[in-house]
Amino acid sequence: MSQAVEGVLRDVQAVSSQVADVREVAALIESFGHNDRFAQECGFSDVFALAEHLFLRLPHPASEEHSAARRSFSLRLRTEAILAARKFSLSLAYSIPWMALLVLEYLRPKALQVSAEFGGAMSLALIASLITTGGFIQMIFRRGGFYFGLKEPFLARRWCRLLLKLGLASNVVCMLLGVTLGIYFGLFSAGYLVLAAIIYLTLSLLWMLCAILSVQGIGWCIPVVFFLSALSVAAINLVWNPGTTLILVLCPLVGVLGASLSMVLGFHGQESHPHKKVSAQPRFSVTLTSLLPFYAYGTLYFSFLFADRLAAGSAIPWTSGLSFGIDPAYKKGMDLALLAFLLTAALVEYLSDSFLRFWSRLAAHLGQEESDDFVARLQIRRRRMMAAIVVFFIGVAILAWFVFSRSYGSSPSQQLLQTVGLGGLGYLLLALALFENIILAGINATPRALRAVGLGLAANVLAGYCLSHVWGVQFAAAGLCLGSAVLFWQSNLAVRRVLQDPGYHYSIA
Amino acid sequence: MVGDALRALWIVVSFAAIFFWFPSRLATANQQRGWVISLASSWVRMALCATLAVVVLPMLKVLTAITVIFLLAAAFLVTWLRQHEWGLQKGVASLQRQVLAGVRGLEARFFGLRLVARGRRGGRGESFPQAHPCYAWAKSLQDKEFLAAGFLAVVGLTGFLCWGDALRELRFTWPDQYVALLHAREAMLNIVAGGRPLVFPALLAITSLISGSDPLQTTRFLCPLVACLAVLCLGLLVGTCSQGAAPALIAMYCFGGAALPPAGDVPLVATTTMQKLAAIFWRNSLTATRATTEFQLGLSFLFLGLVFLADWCWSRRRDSLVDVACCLLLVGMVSQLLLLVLVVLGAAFLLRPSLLLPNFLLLGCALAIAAAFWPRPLTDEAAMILPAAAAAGVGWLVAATGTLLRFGTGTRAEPALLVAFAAVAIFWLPPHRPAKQPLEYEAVVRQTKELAENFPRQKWLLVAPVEQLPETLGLGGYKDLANFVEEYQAQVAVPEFRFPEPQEDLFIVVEKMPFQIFAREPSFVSFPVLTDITYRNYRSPAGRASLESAALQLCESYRRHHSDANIYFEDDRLRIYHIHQQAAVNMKAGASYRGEEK
Repeated sequence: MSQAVEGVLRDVQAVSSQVADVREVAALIESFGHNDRFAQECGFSDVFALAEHLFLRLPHPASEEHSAARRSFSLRLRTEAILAARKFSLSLAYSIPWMALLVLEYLRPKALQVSAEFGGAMSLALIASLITTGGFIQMIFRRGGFYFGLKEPFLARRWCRLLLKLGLASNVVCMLLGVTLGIYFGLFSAGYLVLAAIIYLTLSLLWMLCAILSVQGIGWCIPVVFFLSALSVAAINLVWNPGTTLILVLCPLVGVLGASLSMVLGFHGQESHPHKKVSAQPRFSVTLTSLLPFYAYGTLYFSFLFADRLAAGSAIPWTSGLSFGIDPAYKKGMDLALLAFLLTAALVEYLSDSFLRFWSRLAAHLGQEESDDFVARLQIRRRRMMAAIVVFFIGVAILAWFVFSRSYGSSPSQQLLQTVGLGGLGYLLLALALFENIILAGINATPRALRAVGLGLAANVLAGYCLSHVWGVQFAAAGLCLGSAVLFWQSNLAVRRVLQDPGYHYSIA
Repeated sequence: MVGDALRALWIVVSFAAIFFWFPSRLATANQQRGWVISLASSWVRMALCATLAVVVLPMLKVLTAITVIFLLAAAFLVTWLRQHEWGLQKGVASLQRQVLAGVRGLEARFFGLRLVARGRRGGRGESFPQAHPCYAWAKSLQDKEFLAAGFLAVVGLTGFLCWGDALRELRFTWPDQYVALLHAREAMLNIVAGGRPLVFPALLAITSLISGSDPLQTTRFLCPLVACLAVLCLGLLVGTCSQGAAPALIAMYCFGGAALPPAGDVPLVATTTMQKLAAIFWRNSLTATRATTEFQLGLSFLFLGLVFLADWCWSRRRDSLVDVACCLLLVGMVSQLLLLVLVVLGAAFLLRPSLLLPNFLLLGCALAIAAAFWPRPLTDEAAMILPAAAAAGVGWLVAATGTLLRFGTGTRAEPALLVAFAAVAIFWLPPHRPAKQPLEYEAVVRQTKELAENFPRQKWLLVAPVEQLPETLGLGGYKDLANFVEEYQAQVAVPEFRFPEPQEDLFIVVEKMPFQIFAREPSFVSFPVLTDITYRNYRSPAGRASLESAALQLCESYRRHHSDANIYFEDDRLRIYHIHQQAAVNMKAGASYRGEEK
């Protein structure tokens, strides 16, 4: 009989190298087709007794953790620094070009000046490109990251290319729909509509290529691509001086070329040392269905980010002669708040990752009898991290205000102050909600995050649209504020519920 | 013409989709209610919602296409949730099933697989299913071919009479259309102007926002549609009251074709009681009396209100009572007099249902007579009720004749009645097209439309007669020609003079041959009308001629002393000057709008 027990032990080890508790072992034994009778034949009263016996004989990760703890402090610090640098570089890859553009706009306000109508069309194209590709970016991150993590570059490339094609196809459909709506409602003149459509498509492609570069682990390429494209377009401008409008169309096109080249080289580099060349192809519909929540989350999240600008842009009176246009003061105020948010987002990414690792360590270390301690330590860590996010955001926002406020003159207008105040509060709450949402996504609770973002978006759109039309453009930021509050409230509630039983959620994740 | 027909079709389809199709999708299906009553109910409820929305939303400055689409989507969502018993989870699960089925289908196509079994489809040899809607239609039309042909003929005739001018000309046929257009444009610009008309501009604004059409075009094509709807509603009322199709068709013919007695020979100014009575019915012929579009809408709601009341009396359905309330509200918004008529007729109907049509005829005549003797409390609206009342009266007479014939012979007399009426109509009651009253040249409207299409919004200004204000509001600037002439007449000869208007392009419309609204100067004009500035400058032939002459002199004088003026358009009767103001361009460059994009 001992041979049978050894056989079951081997089976359990083969299926799961790390089991959470006795019940999991019992479940595994039953899944192998053994029942209480088999346990009795092996000399145990039932399956649970056999499971307890096997659980004690299984090697526990706690012992590995003990050895890890013995490692030097400097090594752990180094590991943490590398992880932090990776997270920060990924987030800052998007923030740095944004900051550069903001600085350029403040230092040389006329450098990017275009007609108001073209400005409106471009704003819409930029926002639409981010919203419609947000879902595909999330899917690329998930699926690409998953296969790269498994050292399956061929599968990663296949899925990245497939998602890129799907994204591009859906963007072409969206573009046609947008142009049709533009003509139907007479939003812009035909020339500007065509330019906006080109910009929309190229920007969409650029965002998806950047996502692929990120999952390839060469996120540092993104600022380089942006910088080089800006440089080449500046050179073209110096030589031919084709005008700001054409320059603004050319810039993303050059960026797409650079990003495509980097992506191809990245895949080539990954595939030159393959772990294995042939892998089983996952079923398309199953994979796509599993990715749908992430698509929805990405789309909703980016819609949430730009809902206030859409509301503010639509609040422009028809008598101004423009169909869509964001008030310059509103844009200035919200740009500052968004800058603070983008920088804080890097910290949020790192802290949420750190929190999940801390959770994982605790789950491995602490036994079932220490669950209260487990919950308390997680709660304390979470509160500290949230406090750090608040402090960091406020610090960055104040610093940005002092750096850029010189350009507002001696006394900034009341509208600007209201915009910065409401926008800053909104983005601060959004940063906190982002922290909670990453935790939820980390434990495979994406539907909860999705619900929170959906409710927040509804509040954002409704409040922003109504308030900006009724009281003034700056109150579109109040919509963001309210939406972020709803989002934070919902995601915070979800995380608190999850943390009531962290062991269970950790094991199912 | 083809382009106009297509545009008209699109506007009519949009209107039908918003006010008939969409609300009928939202309403819970009630099998006991006939489809005509259900459709009418949807129309009344949606019209009320649209009117309230157009009253409230501009106050909040949120009346835009986005808001309207959002509200429609919200209504759809609420209905969807109601269908899923207010269970969001059920709804989401159903949605998930649909998405998964879509993904599976996509995969099947993507990999050339046919994972999803397709349902069996009927072969060619299958018999025509009896449950098919076409079968029910065909069955209901059996033995009624004659009536169906009559219905088509009446609707076709009404449509021809109503749509002819609208399809041919861009300019409006009736003065009230300008007021409706102005109110619709104000609402779409979120300007709270208040006052009547209320309902028709609301329908215009909503249809324009959804169809993406210019309100000018919407007004042009919805006016005849409203006239047709009023005729159909009268037919429904007469049909409901008389329980017969022939009286309804004849009433529709009389009302839609204005097939009523022509004007008689009566003195211009009635002094005696008999002359006044004669003047009511024969000076202004019923064939020439045309209700404004808003009033036609009011009449439609009045007819439908009575139909719903009849439906409630016979079936005691609560839905019908709600519809009656909606009609009361809508009629009250259109006219207080019509509301009074509806209340009186409704009360009379409840007391004696069979006498509704003669009561309507009597009430119409009584109001017209009262308006002739006491014009102060009553208005022209009393006269506008009379053609509808007369048509309803004709319908009642035909219904009474049909009943007598049926009692006498014991057979259905409807085909015979229709033939007899057709013979009468050919000789004594031919259809009439009411004489139109345009207020401007066709070329002016076409050129204004071209300006709006070719020049950036709000970057141009039109100096023209007052009719151009509703046509340009929200698209470009407008300045009254009389004010313009008065203001700058003495200054334009100075070479340094520049118009202070901020717009880059100025267009001045000058009539070389002044447009004549009346064939001859009216022999009798009341004092308040005579002192009205609009009448003096634009309606009076002499006043208009003087103003246009002064405007022509002003423009020619400016052109002689300035190089930035040229002629934009010219034909035999009209000239449009174009002044491209460099000063305005420079001013704008100084205060340039900062484009905000990267």
